[in-house]
Amino acid sequence: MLAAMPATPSPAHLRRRRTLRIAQLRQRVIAASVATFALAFALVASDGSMGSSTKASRAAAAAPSSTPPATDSFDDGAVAPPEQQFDDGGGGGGGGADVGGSSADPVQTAQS
Amino acid sequence: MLGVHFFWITSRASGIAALLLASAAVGFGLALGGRVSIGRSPDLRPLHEALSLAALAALLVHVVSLLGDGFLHPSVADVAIPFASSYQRFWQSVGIVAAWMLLVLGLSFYARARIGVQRWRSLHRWTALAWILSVGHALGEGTDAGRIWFLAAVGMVVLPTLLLLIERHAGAFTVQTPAPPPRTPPGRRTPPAPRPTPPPAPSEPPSLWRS
Repeated sequence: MLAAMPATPSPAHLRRRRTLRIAQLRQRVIAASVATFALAFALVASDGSMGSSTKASRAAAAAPSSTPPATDSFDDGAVAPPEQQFDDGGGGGGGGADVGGSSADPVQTAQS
Repeated sequence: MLGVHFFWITSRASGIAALLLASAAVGFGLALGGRVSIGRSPDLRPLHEALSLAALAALLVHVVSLLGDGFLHPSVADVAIPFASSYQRFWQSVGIVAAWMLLVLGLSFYARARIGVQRWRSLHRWTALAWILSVGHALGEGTDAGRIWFLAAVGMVVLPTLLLLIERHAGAFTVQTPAPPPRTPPGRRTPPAPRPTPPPAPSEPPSLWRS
């Protein structure tokens, strides 16, 4: 009867088991990180905006070459269409010094 | 298309991975010290550490791969110094500040013996601010911020962490109703509780009575 009862694991055994558990946990975290990265990569590559068809790029491409560069200020609303200022692929904050209106800019505008 | 945009896509994907991992790491970190118990607590600490290190690795890939982008051509200063780059200046600077904070505050764990555990603990709390800044950076500058899959993925990890953060800080402002018993000032001994005296033996009287 007594022999059938499980023996109390020694501290060294417990420590070894915990080390093993932590190593497994780390491996799982690494696997989950790589899987997350791969999934995000696939989603961005297949679905993410690469700047070929945004309104901003079309508007910038269609704009005449004499059009002055669009700036962040709202004073030049008569020159730049409203979507040129807001639809820049989700990055609506600050910056904007690089969002020029020249014909070479559409890709840059869309990549932002 | 993949060849041209390889570094750009890599940077975006690793940025997303870094955000998700950092959110999970902050969430488990909050669960470690908070009142909400999740799973076996001895395993939470190594999980928190592993997630934090994975987030830092993804963050490093996010920054380094951006340097290889053939379109933006950012310099090291552009991706390492706030307000150095003219590209999306505000949100990029927010991201740079958040990255530095996450790096320094995260790696300070390994120097906590030198820093002092209490000081390190109070420093480590600022990681939550760095995480909030990184969420702001992702939503403000992220190219995929408007995509459903991005919002769903971010919502799944950011919202629980945000709730834990609110719970932690709300707990700090709750009124403690039961007042603790008055404690004696340090250096002053409390009188010992009176012991119940045993009844005197009936055979002989106590010796003190004789003197």
